Amino acid sequence: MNQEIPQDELADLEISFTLNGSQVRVSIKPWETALDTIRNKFGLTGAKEGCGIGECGACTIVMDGKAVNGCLVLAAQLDGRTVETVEGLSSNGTLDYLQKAFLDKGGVQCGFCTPGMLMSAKALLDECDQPSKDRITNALSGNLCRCAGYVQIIDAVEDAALIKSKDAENQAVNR
Amino acid sequence: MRINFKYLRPHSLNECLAVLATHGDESAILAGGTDLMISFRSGSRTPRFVLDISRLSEIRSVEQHAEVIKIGAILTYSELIAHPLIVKTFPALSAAMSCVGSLQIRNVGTLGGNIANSSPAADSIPPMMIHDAQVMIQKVNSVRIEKLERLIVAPYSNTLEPDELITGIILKPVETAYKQSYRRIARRKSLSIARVNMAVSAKLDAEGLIEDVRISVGSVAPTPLRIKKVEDSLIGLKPESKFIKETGELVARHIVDLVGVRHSTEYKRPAIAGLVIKCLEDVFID
Ligand SMILES: Cc1cc2nc3c(=O)[nH]c(=O)nc-3n(C[C@H](O)[C@H](O)[C@H](O)COP(=O)(O)OP(=O)(O)OC[C@H]3O[C@@H](n4cnc5c(N)ncnc54)[C@H](O)[C@@H]3O)c2cc1C
Ligand code: FES
Ligand code: FES
Repeated sequence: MNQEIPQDELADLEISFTLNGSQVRVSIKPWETALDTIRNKFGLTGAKEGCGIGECGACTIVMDGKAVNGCLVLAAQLDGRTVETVEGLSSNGTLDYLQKAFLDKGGVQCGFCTPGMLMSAKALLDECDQPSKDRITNALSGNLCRCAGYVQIIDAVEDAALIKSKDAENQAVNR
Repeated sequence: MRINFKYLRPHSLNECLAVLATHGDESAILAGGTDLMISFRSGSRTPRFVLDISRLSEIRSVEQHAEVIKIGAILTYSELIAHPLIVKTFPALSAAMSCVGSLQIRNVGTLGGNIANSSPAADSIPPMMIHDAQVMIQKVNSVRIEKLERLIVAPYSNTLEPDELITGIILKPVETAYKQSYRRIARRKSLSIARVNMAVSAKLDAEGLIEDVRISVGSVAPTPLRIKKVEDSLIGLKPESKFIKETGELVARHIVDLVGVRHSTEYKRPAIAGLVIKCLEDVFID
């Protein structure tokens, strides 16, 4: 396909973006997906390719604060953006509220969907401290889980939101 | 992906139109990519150039004019559902946009993409049709404004030329006396394509008789459509429950007449009738 195209047209692109808080630069193919770049060039293999067509959410990453399917975004589109992946959730070995709550509430079985679930939930909690159950369900509606069960996962997000805002309150009081 | 192309991100609308003028027939326009990336993957589209329009600031705003509201083609569903003017002025459209795919899809998917993709089941199209939607289409040095109903001509097919870009959608708001509804039937709530979808907008006069009613149906014909003939026949009638039931049958019969009997007719006919009844109840019975 496209044999007549001069090779320089298909040259790699240089992009730079913020990945989990660090400024990064990388050389990509124009047709590479964001998911491939993050997994293969940065070794961040939390985000998974389940379906590759936007239907499972296993590839969910957060771009400029919004949950998106890494399989449907071109790497080239990350240029200049802020990207968060599941690897950026914990800091210095301490799990994030969501990660703890997923473990406590039995929201993880095989774990395949978990990075995507966590990132959808992360985008939600960054936008809204105390989301209603409906809002949580809506935010996770693009993430399929075949084993742990949605009840446990939704519970976990509610729990994480609660603990996070309690901690924030305590901190405010102590200040 | 089994494909290669050159990625271009024009910095302005003019630059974008200039690229389309010279390379339109070998380019694919990328907005949210939720349809396009799938066709790259399947190999059904193999463009030489991919033109990323998702950052063109000229076509990302909602503008209120005296008689109409203009919606930039690359605003995402999520941006529009969060826009107070859109939610207030176009409740059926807002409800429809909330049904699209999943949050991840709505965070990038656009109205321009939904129109250009021209799926018979597109969720946004029936609720735009009840506002007599017009599509603003630009190419170098010219603008054409086309009725949405005329733009889409067959499943996944429209009259857009390779050098043309959808830049906006023009919708006419209705008075506050109108009530609206959007409903769809699908296998499940998220991530499923509508099997029948419908938008209704209606207004009663001082006597409680129908002064205006607009019904637009998707997924049942080659393109989403307004059923003006039925709409007209309802003017001046009293919207009681017997009438609503009969109208459901009438619309279903009208659509079967229009598209002919198909393998899906047995399922779709009662589905259409049922959905009409629900939508009319939404607007006429509080
Ligand atoms: C998992 C999944 C679920 C989905 N669910 C739904 C659903 O429930 N309801 C629904 O209606 N759709 C659904 N879709 C389809 C898709 O999300 C919508 O059609 C969306 O609106 C497309 O917009 P986009 O910006 O992503 O388009 P793109 O993929 O960027 O473009 C789509 C097509 O339009 C062309 N195009 C885009 N913008 C312009 C423009 N401004 N001018 C000219 N041409 C343009 C592109 O070249 C391409 O051919 C779903 C898709 C996926 C992957
Ligand atoms: S891999 Fe992206 S949604 Fe399934
Ligand atoms: S834990 Fe296995 S898919 Fe969700």
